Order: sequence, then C-alpha cells, then structure tokens
Amino acid sequence: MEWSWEVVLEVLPSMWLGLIVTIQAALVGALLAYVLGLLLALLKMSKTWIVAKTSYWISECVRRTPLLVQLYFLFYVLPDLGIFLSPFAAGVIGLGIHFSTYTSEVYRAGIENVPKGQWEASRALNYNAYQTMRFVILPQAIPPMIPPLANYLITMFKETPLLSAITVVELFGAANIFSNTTYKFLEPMTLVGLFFLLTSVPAAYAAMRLEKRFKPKNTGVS
Amino acid sequence: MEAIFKYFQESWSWSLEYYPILIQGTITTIELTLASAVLALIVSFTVGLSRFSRLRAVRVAAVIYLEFFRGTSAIVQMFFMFFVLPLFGVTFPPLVAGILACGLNLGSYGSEVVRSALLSVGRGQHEAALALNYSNYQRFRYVLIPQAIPVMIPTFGNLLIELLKLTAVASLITISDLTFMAQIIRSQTALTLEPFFVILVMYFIISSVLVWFTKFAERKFSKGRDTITREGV
Amino acid sequence: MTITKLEKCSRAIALTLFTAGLSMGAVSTVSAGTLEDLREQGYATVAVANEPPYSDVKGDGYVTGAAPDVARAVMKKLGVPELRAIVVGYGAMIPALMARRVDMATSGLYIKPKRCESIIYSEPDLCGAEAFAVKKGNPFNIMTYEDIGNNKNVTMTTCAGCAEEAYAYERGVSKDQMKIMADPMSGIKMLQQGRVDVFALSGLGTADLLKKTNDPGLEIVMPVKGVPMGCAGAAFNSDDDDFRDAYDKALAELKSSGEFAKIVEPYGFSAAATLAVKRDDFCPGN
Repeated sequence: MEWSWEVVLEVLPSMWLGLIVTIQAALVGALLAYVLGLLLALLKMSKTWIVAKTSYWISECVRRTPLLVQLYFLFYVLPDLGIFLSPFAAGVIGLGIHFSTYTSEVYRAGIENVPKGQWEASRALNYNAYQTMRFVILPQAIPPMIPPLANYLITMFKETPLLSAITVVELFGAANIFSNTTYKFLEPMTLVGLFFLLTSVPAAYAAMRLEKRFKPKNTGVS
Repeated sequence: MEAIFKYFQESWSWSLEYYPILIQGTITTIELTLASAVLALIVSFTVGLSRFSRLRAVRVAAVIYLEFFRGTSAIVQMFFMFFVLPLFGVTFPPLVAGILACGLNLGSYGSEVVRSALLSVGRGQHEAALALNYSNYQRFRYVLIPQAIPVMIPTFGNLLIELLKLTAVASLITISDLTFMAQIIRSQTALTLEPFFVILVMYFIISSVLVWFTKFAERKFSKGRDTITREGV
Repeated sequence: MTITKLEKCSRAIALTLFTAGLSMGAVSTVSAGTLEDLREQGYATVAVANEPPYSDVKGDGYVTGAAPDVARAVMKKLGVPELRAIVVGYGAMIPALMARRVDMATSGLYIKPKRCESIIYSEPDLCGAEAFAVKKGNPFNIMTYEDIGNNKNVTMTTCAGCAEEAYAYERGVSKDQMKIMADPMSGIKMLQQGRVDVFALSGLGTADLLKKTNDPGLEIVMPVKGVPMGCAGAAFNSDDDDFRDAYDKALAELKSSGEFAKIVEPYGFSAAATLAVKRDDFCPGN
C-alpha cells in the first residue's frame, strides 16, 4: 500500500473546514457542559431529598448511556416531538448534556473538599448563601477544579467524531465521506489521527501545566 | 384508552418480531465490553508499571503509547484498524478490531490510573520496603500494588462504563452490537423513538450492573483497610 | 491471599484471551477463498447492506432480499449450500471485499466504472430505475438531478459513495446542497423533518422506504430522467476471476431457466430489464 500525496491534497480542503467545525463544536459543547454541570451539581447537593435524588438519577441515566444513541435521539426523535434542532445544535447540546454529568461531579467534589470550617465561619459571619459561595467557598473550590475541567474539554474534542453520525461535517466526517466516495482510506484516516494528535498532545501538556499550577496546597490525604 | 392501545400495537409490535436480534446485539455488546476490559486491564498494568522502569527506553515507549492512544479519538482508532490495516495486509474480523481498539484505547487511560494509584501509596511504604531489602519486583508486588488496587477500583469502574459506551461506536464499523441492531430495526420498521428508547434502557441496565460490580469490588478489596469511604470524613 | 487469587485470575484471563485471539486470528484468514475452498467449507460469506428490497435483514437475523436470494440460488448451483450474510454499511461493502473479509458482496451495488477499478462484478442481476422522495406536491418541482442543480435553494440527501451522489455532482448539484445521510432511514427522516428537500436512492429502495414510513406527506418521483438505469451485480475481489466466471455461468443458467425471474419479480424487479443488459455495457473489460 502506498501513500499518495495527491489524495492528501484532495482531501485536505474539506478536512480543514471540518477541523474548524470540530473546534467550534468542542468549545461550545464544553461551555454548555460547564454551565449545565454547575447547575446539576447544585441540584444534586440540594437539601431537598427528592430534588437531590431525582437529579442524581437523571444524571446517571445520561452518564450510563452512550452519547451516540443520545445524539440520535436529539436529532431524529425530538423533531417528532416538536423540537427541531440543527445538526450542529443537536451535536453541542448532546455533548453538553452528556458531559455535564461529568463536570457536575467535578464541581461537587470540589465544593465538598472545602473544609467544613469554612462553611461554619461564613455562618458565624452572617453571610447569606450567595455571599458564602461567592466570597468564601467558590474561590477555594474552583482552582483545583480547573485541571479536570480542562481535561474534559480535551475529551469532548475527541468525542466530536460522533457528531458525524448526525450529519455534522466535522473533521472525521469530512474524511469519512471522502473515503466512502473514493475508496481511499489510508490517507484521510491517517490525517485525521494526525490532526487529533497534533491538537491533543499540546493540549494535554497545557492541562498538565495547569494541574501543577493549581495543585491544591493542603492535601492531607496520604 | 383505545388510542393508547393502538399506539402500543403500532409502535411496539416490532418487539415481538425483532427481539431475537436485540438479544443477539446485547450479547455482542457484553462480549465486546468484557473482552476489551480484560485487554485494557492487561495493557493498563503493563504500561502503567513500565512508567516506573529503570530503563529509559521502556519508560519512553510507555509514554509514547499513552500519548498516541489517549491523544487520538477512539473512533478514529477503530476506523483505522478496520479500514486501513487491511491495506497493509492485517485484516482483523470486525469484532477483534473492535476489541483491540477499545481495549488499547481504554488501556491508555487505565495506565494513568495505575500510575497515579501507585504514586499515591505513601512514601513510607516505599522506604519500608527498601529498608527490608526488597527487590524492585518484591516491592511492587507485595507492598505497592496491593495498596494501590483499592485506590484504582473506583476509577476503573468509571472506565468500565466508558468502555460500554464506546462499544456503541463499534456499530459504526459494522459490529452487530446493540446500536447496530437498533439501526436494523429502524430500517425495517421506520420507527426511531421506540428502538432507540429500548436500547437506551438496555445500556442503562448493563451499566448499572457494572456500577454495582464496581461497588462490590471496592468493598471486597477494602476489607480490613481503613480507607476513606465515600460517605465518611 | 487476595493477591494470589487476583494473580491466578488474571493469568487465566490472559491465557484465555491469548488463545481466543490466536484462534480468531486463524479464522480470519480462512474467511475468503476460491470456489473450491468454499465448496469444502460448505458456505460462503457475503456482505449485504440492509437496503430493502435489495437486501433485507429479518427479525431473527436471517438475510433475505432480492440480491441475497439470487446469490443463494447461484451458489447452490455451484455446490455451496449455505450463504452467511454479514450486514455492513453501504460504503463498507467494497472495502470489506478488498480486505477479503467476505467472499462476495451483493446488495444493489451498481456496476460503475469507478468501482470496477477496485473490484470485479458478475453479470447484472438487479436493474431498476432511480427515484426521488419529496414532500407531497413536489413543491420545488424536482424531476431530475439537473432540476436540483438549477435551484440552489434546494437541498438533497443520499448516501456517501452511492451512485446517486455521483449522479448529483455530475449534473450540477453543488456540495452545499448535499447533506450526506448516515443511512437510508435517517435520510427519509431528514426529508420528513424538512432538513432536506429531496431524498435520492434506487427506485425500489425508495419505494420500500416510503411504504414502511407510511407518511402521506411524502411522495415518490420515479423514474428520474437523465440518469442511466442502475444495474447492480454481485461483486468479487479483483483476484477472484475464476470464481466470478463460474458465478456468471450459473447465473446465466438461472436466467435462461426462468428461475431468476421467479426470484426477483416478487421483489418488484423486472427480470426482462436485467436480461437485456450485460456487464460490458457498464464496465467494458471488467
């Protein structure tokens, strides 16, 4: 099997366009995951038992089922129920909801790791809920959360190929369409792998740097 | 009332005709998950332990493996194994390609879990082993790994669920798993909601079994240890 | 004690996996072979794409449909009693053949010069016209691919690597007008939901999909003018000349005995149309 640079030149333009869509989808999806995750975390930590339990189980239903099937649902089933989403919208919403279950765990762990004393001190100082969160808890909770959250961005970036199943023409989808039409698989697939490597290795390295920077200073666990 | 009955008749009668392939799909999914899990476990320990090797070449090889399989998307790896390797003469049956791709991919994440779990074992243990004149092998085998395992299990449990979800992607390389069967039912009945709903429930059930199994393993491996439990502290 | 149990367990698992891997590896190389090997084996593996009525996967996994049924009859004549079908995506059929994962592929693979570069075909076995599915009333009045090409507001869908995709691009449809569908049923859904205006596939395939979907809001445009009749054949790996020639001979016998017509006509195919064409009409010298 020989490598053909002509094929590379042929497929590169559509792959480049696909890469742009991939990056957009990953960023928007991550944003949604961060926001929804925080919401979900707060619901899961709610004092009302029924709210906490319901949100836990909804979260588990989403977490324990494949993203691929969830995307099919969002794209093909929702319109029958009246909700029409464009491929890109369905894709990022799917990514966002699916990964919000993971980010919510990060938030939850982060908030729970703040020592109880901080909460008590805020009570003693008569802070209301908002003040407690904004000035005492979150500033301490957020820094250790950043590395795992950043890692989920990278993970989402690598999950974007699934969006090709709902007709989003991202990097992998573009290569796949080309391969199916021309029966040339070697160059496109290798290029896709290369593109992913070139983006995620530096990103992983950056995430590692973030982790070092935000390393919690007082981990007592031995 | 009649309308509800009619709905069930129209939209669910396929289940009587097509349940055999659903069962077949479930079995394939479970086979795929378990086989990949075993492969991933073997790879995780091999690569994870290699990170501690004295030989630089071994350490570097492990890191390269990690970056390659973790840095590229699992779907791309699967397509590569299915479509590209045959061009070089290496043709795996679809199931084997799926198991390899899933196992090698998750093995890379698993290796990081193994590595960080081993690192989390207190310095005191390393030093005690040295003081007792344990060889490297003995130190790992009798002191470090046994203490690292309880730490690894929760995360491995999560990875197991990820593995199950990854097998759904295997349907895209024509493995006749649960998702693939749902597509077949779709193409025969023109129904989308019902088949997909059924497989979502199936995946949830299988996942929940895996979660239960993980919790069971956690308890079993923590017997007699004072590890921090989820509810405590 | 926990360690040794773990050790024993993992050793056993590793051994099982290794042996399983070896045996699976061994099986993979025996999957495709010449006709003699197949006769010895007692079965042939064929790739199908689950596109009724060309190929049809039943609830118990049994593969039927015009193409597999014809293949079964031919293979029986050749002394291979069983046909094992593997369902693959449409675009994966030719790669599967080239990689020798299967012995043959048959499921409405039109005989096209481009494909003939990679594989060899039998004589045509299923011919049919092309069709579009559109919303009732055909709002954009689409009767041909050129109509789509002329109206840049119209979007269409078909499968990647399908003959229809090539037809579209050759007749002026631009890339932005094309939304590749994941599979035919999804394509129809896209049409129903208004994501695309036109769905293009083989005539009988489209008709079957519309029948199953049973949506009064859709209608079929058949035949689509301006495109050649789509004739499919069974496909073989380009090295399997002898196999292909033997297949052709048996197929010709089926056609002349009238058995061929009996198999394909219930599915809606016209035996007469198929009998009138030869492979060389589409792929000279294949």
